[in-house]
Amino acid sequence: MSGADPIVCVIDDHAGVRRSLARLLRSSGHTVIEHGSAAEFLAGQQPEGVGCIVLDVNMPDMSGPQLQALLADQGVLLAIVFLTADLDLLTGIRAMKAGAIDYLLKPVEDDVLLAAIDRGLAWSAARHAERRQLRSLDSRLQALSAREYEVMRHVIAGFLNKQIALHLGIAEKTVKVHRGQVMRKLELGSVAELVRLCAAVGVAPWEPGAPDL
Amino acid sequence: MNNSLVIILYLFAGIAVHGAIHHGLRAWRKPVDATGALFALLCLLVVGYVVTKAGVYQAETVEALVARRRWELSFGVLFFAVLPWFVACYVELDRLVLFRRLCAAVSGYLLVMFLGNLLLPHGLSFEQLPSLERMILPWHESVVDARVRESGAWHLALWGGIFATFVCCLWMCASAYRRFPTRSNLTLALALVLFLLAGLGNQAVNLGLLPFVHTFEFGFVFMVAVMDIELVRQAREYARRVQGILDNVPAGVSVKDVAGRYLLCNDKYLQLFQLQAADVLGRTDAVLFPPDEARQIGRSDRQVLETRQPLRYPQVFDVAGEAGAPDRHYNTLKFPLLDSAGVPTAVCSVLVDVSEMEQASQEIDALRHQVWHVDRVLRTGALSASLAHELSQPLAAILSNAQAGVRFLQSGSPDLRELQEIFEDIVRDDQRATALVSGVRSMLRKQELPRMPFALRELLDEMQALIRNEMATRGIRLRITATGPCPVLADRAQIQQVLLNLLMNAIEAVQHQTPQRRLVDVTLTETPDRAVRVAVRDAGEGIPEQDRRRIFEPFHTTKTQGLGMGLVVCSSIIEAHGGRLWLETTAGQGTVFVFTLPMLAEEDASMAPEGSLTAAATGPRL
Repeated sequence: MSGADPIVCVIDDHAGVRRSLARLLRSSGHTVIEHGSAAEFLAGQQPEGVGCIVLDVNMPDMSGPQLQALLADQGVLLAIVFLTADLDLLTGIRAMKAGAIDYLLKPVEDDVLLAAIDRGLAWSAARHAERRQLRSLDSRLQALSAREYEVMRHVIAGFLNKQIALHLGIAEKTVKVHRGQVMRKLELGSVAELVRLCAAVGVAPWEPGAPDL
Repeated sequence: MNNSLVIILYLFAGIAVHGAIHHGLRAWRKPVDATGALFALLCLLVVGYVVTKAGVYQAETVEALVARRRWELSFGVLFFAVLPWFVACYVELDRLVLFRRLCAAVSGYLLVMFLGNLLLPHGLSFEQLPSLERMILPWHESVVDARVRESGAWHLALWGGIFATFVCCLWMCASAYRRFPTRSNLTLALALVLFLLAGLGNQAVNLGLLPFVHTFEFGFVFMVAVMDIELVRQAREYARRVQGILDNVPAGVSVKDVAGRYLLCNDKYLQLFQLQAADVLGRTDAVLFPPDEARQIGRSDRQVLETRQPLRYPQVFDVAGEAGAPDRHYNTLKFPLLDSAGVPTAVCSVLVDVSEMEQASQEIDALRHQVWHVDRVLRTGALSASLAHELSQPLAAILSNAQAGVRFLQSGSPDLRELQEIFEDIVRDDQRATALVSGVRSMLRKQELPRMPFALRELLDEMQALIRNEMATRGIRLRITATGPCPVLADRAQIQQVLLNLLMNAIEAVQHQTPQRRLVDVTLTETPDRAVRVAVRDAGEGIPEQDRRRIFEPFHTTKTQGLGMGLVVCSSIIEAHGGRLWLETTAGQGTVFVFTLPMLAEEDASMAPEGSLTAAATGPRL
């Protein structure tokens, strides 16, 4: 899966444009798949690995931004570089806010397009890596006991061991043991790393007044 | 002075002879002038009457007196038999049945008298042979006494007939005067009254109340002289009136006889051809115009005479003596003048100046084309985003293809087939861009181009490219169905404009509908009556009843943006092409705009395009 070549999809209803883009991308060493419409792309074999979509904005039936929203809903980690013939600022802003890599105007210079695609592939690769890391973190979090989980939430909230012990009604030493267990089970070296990963997987820090999990 | 009365009578005869010859000759033309002919006849009868009367006064024997009186009376009776017909013609009542019957009755009665006069032993004047007596006139001249002293029954019957004739004639005059109070009707009545008085004087002489010769001949001659003068006056007045009308109508008028001689023409006609009246009348075109021109004129004259049908054609004149003045446009109408038998006797030409009309219609035409052009520019402007979009596609493809090609070349081992495909793609995309640009250029150009044969189906396919983006962004589908190529001879840009107008209207009508109803349907049909029918159907709201009639009016619009000129322009363009544009709509079912254009026949399709436009007819000169 992760070992497969990065793939660039060209989705454009103009056959001439599509063919020329594919040719350009192949000439710079990319693996290219062409699709004439969003529906065709959705019906076909979608790349599961690192990839980038060069996406036309205005297409019959389903527009580029609509496909972008659909893919985001499905959690597909393909970067999207919009390529449009219309300079429509609002659509551009919306596309960029929705996570597009770039919003380029036809006709496009090859180095601009290739640079955007490279960024897109890099982004896609990073997202894939992150997802892999998060997935392993997730399974490691499952290994924590309820008490260890509680202690962890207090730690990432910035409480001192003494405060945690007082709050949970346990000895400070016990807190230290739990803390050590958490770091060991999660294979982490520093609290900073712990904080960042917890934020990524959505583990909320303990807050005074909030109901205990 | 023993012969003065006879001399006077011969003088009278001279007057009557003049009347007979003058009006006889005038009436002899075609068509025969009944009034003139009857008057000439009356004059001849008066001549007979007066001459025989002179004979009466010179009679040597009783037999001669009786015979000459018989002749005298014959002429007189015939005169009164003809008189009512003349009066009827003169006052133009001869077509009324009542007066025709009256005239016939009087004439018939007098003809019986005429026969009686011929058959009775002594004519109508005398019961028995009179003795030959002489009488002394007031100026002491002695003449034969022609008085009828003992009026017999026949004589009285004759006088009854003559009196009835007067009554009949005066009635006709009065009737004509009531209807149309003209001076000539009154003059005739007065002449008749004086004539009647002369007749009564005659009777007074007969009865011995007046020591004088018969006064009737004075009445005859007076009547003839007055009518002679009146008829001539009338004829002159009529001619002056006609000439007055002719000289003042805003048209050149001429009349030529069958030999091509000018009988009549007005001032305007002379001005037009730079002629003098004195040179023209009686002359022919061969004398007045250069040979070529005269031949052409003669040809059209002959055509009118042969077909007996009016001929119309346009003519252009350059204004005399005004260098640089615009040409004047004339419509020429030629028609034959027929006699009562329907045989053409003359050709009349009427040249009407239509320059102002022509100019006005040209100005209206120019304005209309300006409006069309403005509308085209607006339409095209509204499409500019779409156009930029459509143009950037081939440009993008060309750029990427070229850059891919460069990269392939840089890679060291270029795939030649790939490179060939790249170049072929570049050529194709460039052609697409060029087609788009030239389509826009034709929409923006201002001057008219000749109408060209083309297929509506192809035009619509090309236009799809222009509006595809417009439709795609709004999620509208366009469905085109055609039963054939639908060839027409038309201004391509103008028809494109009409289609664009209707399609954009349809797009606007459906853009806020549910996605299923965002459909625009265009149907092209070749109809059996050699027309092309185009229906643009949308599934929008339809047009409310109260707006339907007004949508083809200028400046009526239901849109917040728009001039309200679109459908006006469409309609005028289609009509200029000989077609029709109308609306078919059902409330809630959307709207269908339908237009028709004459379909181009296959044999016309091969015709040279410029031939079809410059075939404007230019008629022969005069």
